[in-house]
Amino acid sequence: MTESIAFQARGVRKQFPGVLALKDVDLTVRSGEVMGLVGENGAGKSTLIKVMVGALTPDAGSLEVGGRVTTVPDPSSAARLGISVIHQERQVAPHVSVAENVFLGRLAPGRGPLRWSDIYERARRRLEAIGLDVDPRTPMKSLTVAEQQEVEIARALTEDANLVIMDEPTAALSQNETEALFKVIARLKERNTAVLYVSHHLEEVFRVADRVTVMRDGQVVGVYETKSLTVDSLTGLMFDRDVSSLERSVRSSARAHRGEVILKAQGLSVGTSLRGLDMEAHRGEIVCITGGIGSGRRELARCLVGAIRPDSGEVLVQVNGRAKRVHSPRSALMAGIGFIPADRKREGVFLDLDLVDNVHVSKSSLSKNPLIFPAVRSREVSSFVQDLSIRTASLRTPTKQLSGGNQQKVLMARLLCINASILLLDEPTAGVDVNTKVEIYQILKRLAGEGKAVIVLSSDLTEVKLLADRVLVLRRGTVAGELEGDAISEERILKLASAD
Amino acid sequence: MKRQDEVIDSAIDMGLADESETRGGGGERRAGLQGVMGIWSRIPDSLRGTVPVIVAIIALGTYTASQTPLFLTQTNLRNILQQSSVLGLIAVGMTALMIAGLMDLSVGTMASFISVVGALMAKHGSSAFVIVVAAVLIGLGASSVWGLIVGYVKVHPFILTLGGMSIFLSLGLALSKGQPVPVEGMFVSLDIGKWLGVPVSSVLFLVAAVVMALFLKFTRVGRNTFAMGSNPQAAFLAGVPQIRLPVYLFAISGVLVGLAAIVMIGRLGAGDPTAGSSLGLQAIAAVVIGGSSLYGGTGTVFGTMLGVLLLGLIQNSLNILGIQIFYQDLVYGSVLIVAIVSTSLREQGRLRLPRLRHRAK
Repeated sequence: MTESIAFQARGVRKQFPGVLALKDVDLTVRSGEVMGLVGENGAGKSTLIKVMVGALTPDAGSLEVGGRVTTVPDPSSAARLGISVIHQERQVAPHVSVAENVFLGRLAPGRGPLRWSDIYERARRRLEAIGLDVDPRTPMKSLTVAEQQEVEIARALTEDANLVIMDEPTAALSQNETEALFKVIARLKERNTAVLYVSHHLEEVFRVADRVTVMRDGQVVGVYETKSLTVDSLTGLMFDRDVSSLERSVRSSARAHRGEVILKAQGLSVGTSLRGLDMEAHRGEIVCITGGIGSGRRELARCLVGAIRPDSGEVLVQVNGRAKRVHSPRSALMAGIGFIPADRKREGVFLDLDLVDNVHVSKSSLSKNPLIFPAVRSREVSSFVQDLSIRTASLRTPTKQLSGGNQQKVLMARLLCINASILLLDEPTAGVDVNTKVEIYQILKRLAGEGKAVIVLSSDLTEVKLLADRVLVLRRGTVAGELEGDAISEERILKLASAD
Repeated sequence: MKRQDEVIDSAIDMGLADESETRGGGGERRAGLQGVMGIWSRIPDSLRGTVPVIVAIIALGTYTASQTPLFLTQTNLRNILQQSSVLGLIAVGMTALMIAGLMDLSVGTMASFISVVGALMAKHGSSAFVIVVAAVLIGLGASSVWGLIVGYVKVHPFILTLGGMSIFLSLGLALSKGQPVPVEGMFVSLDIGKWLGVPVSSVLFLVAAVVMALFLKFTRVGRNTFAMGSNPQAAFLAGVPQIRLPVYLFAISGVLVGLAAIVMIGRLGAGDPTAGSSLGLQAIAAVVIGGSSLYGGTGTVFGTMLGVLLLGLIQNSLNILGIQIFYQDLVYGSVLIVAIVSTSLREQGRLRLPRLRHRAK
């Protein structure tokens, strides 16, 4: 192993509105080394990667690639510098051949007609280099997910590849496929390529990484030889033990009295994402559901609100002593389930429409009355806007002009407006500033205190620990374990989420 | 510019524009000095896109009037209104569809087909009332089918109604054996007849526009229309009905197509299987010129009315200026391209129409 430095970031700083996402971050990856990058959600890992590949411009700091100081103004210049990313979602063209995917976007360097025999030959060599035995003529879509990912790695391995970043690469892989990926990584090391391995799965990091960079709150906590660490010492480094005063104020609010079961999911199965999952939620409690990517969290949320129909199993809600089955978002709303999706902009708010339309949409959709007068709607909406202290110029302001935190509150107002008895929130504080975060926590606590069932899906373990009366940890489509009260801790959750 | 403000004011009075929005930016208005910009700031975002259309209408009107005294005559202006009614009725229905992110290309040939059916019924002695009811029911039924297919199967309405466009053209030609079916006197009253000096067909268009504007503003379905067009996935999760809503909107459009077909019979004195072929695309053009987004979520009936008026004015000006009819579609096409390019640029924020900035002193 040579000691030459493939990639170096120095003093990288990135400010987002209300959040300092990266504070003077240093990162060094040597050639032929696998560097692990760990940290809880919001620690700044993805921001750092975005800076490295030119998707974000840093406010300060410098990047060095192959020993030369450089800037990465956009993703295409990152590719030119030999930096490539393997994302957790596949970035492939499924309908064309493997060879075309290997050379996606740069099929032929010169002019003139394509020489297919040459392209196939070069693709074959690339695939051999990482030990993937696939005919380059095969259509991409006939490959397994893991093979497709290896084709992506082959794409990354240009002659001048300096650094391959793998962002949660095993999220969609089975155990065997993960083993195959590790073999590919070993080959990359032999070729003296630098690898940055980003993962929530600590045992994977221990398997492949030579060194680990730990991030917390936008800062690098430290760089450690993997050999010198244990899972426990690493989790200790990842999480800040110090509970801030704001968090204490949330925690000190009284635990609500747990009431009767109001929502019940039985034997939910969806493809390979959910495998016969059972769960229930009581009135007056906050249930947090957590688990890594690929644990089935997203699919569970979709099933609970009827946005996807499970292959088997059902979701039942107690309404006035009768069990109602959920089969569509509309029926879920009528049964009293209010949902706030994780992707606020894509699935939550109507950016072009004003606050009144955004808050009132569910109520008016469920209303029997065909006429709704703007004055009535405004009046109904304004009390919730005040109640949740949504900061806006007026009720007529288009939602796109509000901050992320206020947009999130608009969605909460929508649920309060229909007086939902079950609130289901997917990543409720993603992209929300710290103050609003605490406000949202306090609102959720209050709502649970009023006898509503609050279900929070979250990958933010600090948040889970702060909010949850009960935690369900998902792994591979089932509930891997349940923690309650004082038994809830980040270490236990992580162990349940990753144990095999 | 003064006149634009009046237009907006009258739009508010008619309930076509959103009063609170219009006045929303007005609180910060300052007198005098910033006169023109002050007016600009009072125009709500949703209507700003219509300002270039109003300018175009005024400019074209002024030019044509300066070229020929024939333009500013009562007969000619009434003529423009009359000519616009058929397109107007169809475009009003199209506005709601497009706000919801839908569209219906088949409306033009559907109107032709219905006009043929109506003319044949007249020939066989049906009463005017029966024919009007039949026309409305055919439009409603056929369009509802599109709505059901869009709602249940989630196909894109573009291709679906492109198919429908061919079907109705063919059905109309088959029924009429390719020839216009003449009608005696009956519906001509719709066209020539006047109510308070305005042709009945234009009154019909105006009433449809006002009702649609009120519908979009004051009803559950109307607000859901904006929600669905603005963000279909969010609308789905927020409980907006996924099947009923497209069915309603297509059905409303179908009713208006049926009425447009009756007006067509009146204008042409016949049921013509090809007369309306280009109306579908023209209606979409009028809606887009009126500032609605092609992707749904925004749009006003007022804007659509202006779009219809501009297209009618172009046709009329070309006629009375004696420009060959072959150039008509060239002008239409150019106007549409300018409208869609400027709308898209504005949506991407590259072409900023001026906004008034209030700086602290």
